[in-house]
Amino acid sequence: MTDSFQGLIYRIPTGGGAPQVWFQHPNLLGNPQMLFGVNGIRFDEKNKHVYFSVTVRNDFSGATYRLAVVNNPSAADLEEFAVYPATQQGPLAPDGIAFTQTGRLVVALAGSSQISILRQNGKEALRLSGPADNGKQGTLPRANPANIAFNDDERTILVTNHASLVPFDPNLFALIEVFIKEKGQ
Amino acid sequence: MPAPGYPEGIAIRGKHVYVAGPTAFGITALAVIWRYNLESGAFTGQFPITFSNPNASMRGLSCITFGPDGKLYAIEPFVGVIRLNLDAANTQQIYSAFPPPPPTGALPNDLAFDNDGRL
Repeated sequence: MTDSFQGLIYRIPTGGGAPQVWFQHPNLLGNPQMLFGVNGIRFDEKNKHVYFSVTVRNDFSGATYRLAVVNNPSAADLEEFAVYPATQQGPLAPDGIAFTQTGRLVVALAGSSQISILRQNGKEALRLSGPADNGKQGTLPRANPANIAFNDDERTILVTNHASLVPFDPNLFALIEVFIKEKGQ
Repeated sequence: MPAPGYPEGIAIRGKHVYVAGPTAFGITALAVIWRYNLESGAFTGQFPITFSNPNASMRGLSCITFGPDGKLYAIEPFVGVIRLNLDAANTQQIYSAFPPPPPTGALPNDLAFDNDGRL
């Protein structure tokens, strides 16, 4: 379980109980002005690594990392997986993440209101931008997508449109479905 | 989405999609899981969180996930990880109570189970 402000990952024993700090590192901390560090978290299929996003780093870039799943991970077990440099519009701010069945990592970019899909080597395969089709109502802007779930029957993902960093508009609070031709892990 | 909006966590199980919210600073509305029909998108019910922290100025939910037991686990950042049975009685337990935050603040955010059933 991630803690975005403390920059750490907790582990909670099977069956519950108090969270215990499992890994803490300065790279998991956010930017002092924006605070959001380690955020979305998912295990790979074999549980060899746990992947997580760091939303806003000191230089306003965001990143995904992976960490070896061992009892007492150290800094040597931490690898930078993909970087999202900030643009003139601001941080891209990776938030929730989720694996496809083929091991690609889907990343919600809350800052730029985009969806990024990473190959298994961390290189970006695809970046989805722009509004979503909203039937007879026209289109619905993507607004700070936060988290992702797979609808395997349709080979789509559902993404929460968090809409917290844009002017208040209750119509933006929605789920957006994106066809990605894959099931989830 | 119902007011006050700000949907954050999302999880799918069977024919339903579950969405957690609200998640935004300054929002004090009841934390809730909204349930929708996966195929039609129709709203089919909700599960208000019955725990809150009287010492916290906020309530809310961040992320959610299904556990190996089929129950839904939700982070209430000011309380802990809440386990929901998603039954008619809205049965819930505190699965993991969070310690008091340090002066610099804390924000438990996302969660995932490993193959051994640990969060």
